[in-house]
Amino acid sequence: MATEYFVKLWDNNIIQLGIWQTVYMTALTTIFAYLIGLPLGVILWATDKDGLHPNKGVNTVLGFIVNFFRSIPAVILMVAMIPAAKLLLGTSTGNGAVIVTLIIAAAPYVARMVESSLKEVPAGVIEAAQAMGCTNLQIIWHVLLPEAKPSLISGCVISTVTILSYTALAATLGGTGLGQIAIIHGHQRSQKLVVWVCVLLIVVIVQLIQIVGTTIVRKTDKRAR
Amino acid sequence: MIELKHLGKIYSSASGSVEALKDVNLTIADGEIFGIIGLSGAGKSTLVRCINLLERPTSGEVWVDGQNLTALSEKELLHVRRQIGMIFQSFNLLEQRTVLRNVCFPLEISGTPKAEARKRAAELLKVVGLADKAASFPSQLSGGQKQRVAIARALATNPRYLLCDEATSALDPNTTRSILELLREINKSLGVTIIVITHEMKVIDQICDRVAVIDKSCIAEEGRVADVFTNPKSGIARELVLPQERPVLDPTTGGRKLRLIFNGEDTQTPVISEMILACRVPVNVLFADTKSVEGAAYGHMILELPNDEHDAEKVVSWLKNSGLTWKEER
Ligand SMILES: Nc1ncnc2c1ncn2[C@@H]1O[C@H](COP(=O)(O)OP(=O)(O)OP(=O)(O)O)[C@@H](O)[C@H]1O
Ligand SMILES: [Mg+2]
Repeated sequence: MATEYFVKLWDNNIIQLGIWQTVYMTALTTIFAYLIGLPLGVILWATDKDGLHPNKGVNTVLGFIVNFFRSIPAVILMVAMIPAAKLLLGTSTGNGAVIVTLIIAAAPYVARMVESSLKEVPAGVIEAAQAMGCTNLQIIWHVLLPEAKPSLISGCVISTVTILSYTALAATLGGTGLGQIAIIHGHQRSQKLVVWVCVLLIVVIVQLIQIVGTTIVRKTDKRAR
Repeated sequence: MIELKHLGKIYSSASGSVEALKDVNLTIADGEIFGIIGLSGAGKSTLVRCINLLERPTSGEVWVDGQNLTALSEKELLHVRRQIGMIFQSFNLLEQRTVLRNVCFPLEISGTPKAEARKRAAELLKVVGLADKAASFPSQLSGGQKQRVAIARALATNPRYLLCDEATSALDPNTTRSILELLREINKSLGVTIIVITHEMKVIDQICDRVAVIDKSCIAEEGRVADVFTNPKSGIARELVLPQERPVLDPTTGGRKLRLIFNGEDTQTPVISEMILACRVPVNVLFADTKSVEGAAYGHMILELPNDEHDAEKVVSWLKNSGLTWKEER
């Protein structure tokens, strides 16, 4: 009985589609969250009082905005961001709108993640670059980001996993993917097997991200050999 | 030539302000190795960081080759900094770049074509004796090797000046010696003017031509190393020049103990053997910490006199007539 319904979903490619949707929403959201969060993280780092270009005003305002968004639980933030999605896309339904809300929810998180990676770069290395006559942009591009790269990648792995969990939550807003299958086909029809398969699939995806991430970090980091 | 004119630096923060430099005036001639020595917190790092304006002085001027750096725009300053290399206690290499690419870095930044930069970097690695480590990463090197890479990197843009902030403080004595030798070689062969910041007298001793002693944000004394060593005028210079270790003596055993103090006596005179020959009494040297600078002895020595009152008195009276500085211990 239980397996029958699952087999039906599988034969209709619903599970497979769910996997793909989860993966692609996660990937797209991560990419856009970094396009916004990475520069924000760099600005937070640079405008810090011990930073490359201290600017108390910018740092305080940006820090406040980031903290404000970060302190709101993801689901509530996504609901609150639906109007923003409507403004940007002209619609508040469908995967596009969900991805926009996901990006807005994830970008501040990514910004802090990036900032903390950048803070690991020793101040002395930055100072040495300044002594060589590097401009601030050269320092950011040729010193800061390359030196922080392994840590940025580790941070990216954590962010991606967090974003993956956001995509599952987004099912409650009409997002597709494994989260939605677990709710609609599993929970609402009391199909425990479907729920558990979805859980298992998400765990597998997280593990894969983790393994690929750590491998890349190990390959790129030249410090510990 | 580097000229520091009435340089002052005040760090102010919410919790108060610290005057790290007070009216510092120094002139560093081309081709010399100039030392700046002082205790921790004296203001050495602040001073050296003011030379390339990593730290902006709050008063006074920095002149390099007739150019007032304090009056330059940020952009012009970047250009001047390329003529002033700098090395640090913590090496500050780029950990994610190979040794060769570390040395290439300042060249790439200043727009040198890659191939040319690599060629020059390879030459510099030869100069510092690390040609075989070109493809290694900094984490695979020892401290001394890292500092050699840092030196090569600092020399890449052909600077006229090299600032060294405690460059050997993280290294063991042997490595320190070899790094200092390398610096001297660079000074001789390339004519680079070197400014050495340190808290260790032996660093000054080994490579510097002239030295400035900095104490509590002020220059306490300045002069040729030999002069400052043989005739330290300021209290701080005396403290730094004369060995400071105090031996732990067991007061319960043996006879009277005397401390002989050498304040620049002629090292050619074998004082102790003369004393023993004259008194015909065995004395025990418990402790000695002396050094000779240009034929003059500095330091102190602790002698234990024989238990026999008469013998001991012979030594004491000989010392009284010898003109040596001494005092009874305990
Ligand atoms: N960025 C800063 N802000 C506030 N005070 C500072 C700062 N940098 C240095 N100081 C203060 O200035 C004084 C001189 O510091 P400096 O680092 O120049 O000493 P130093 O001689 O290099 O000591 P060390 O041998 O320990 O390196 C110290 O009292 C220090 O606390
Ligand atoms: Mg210092």
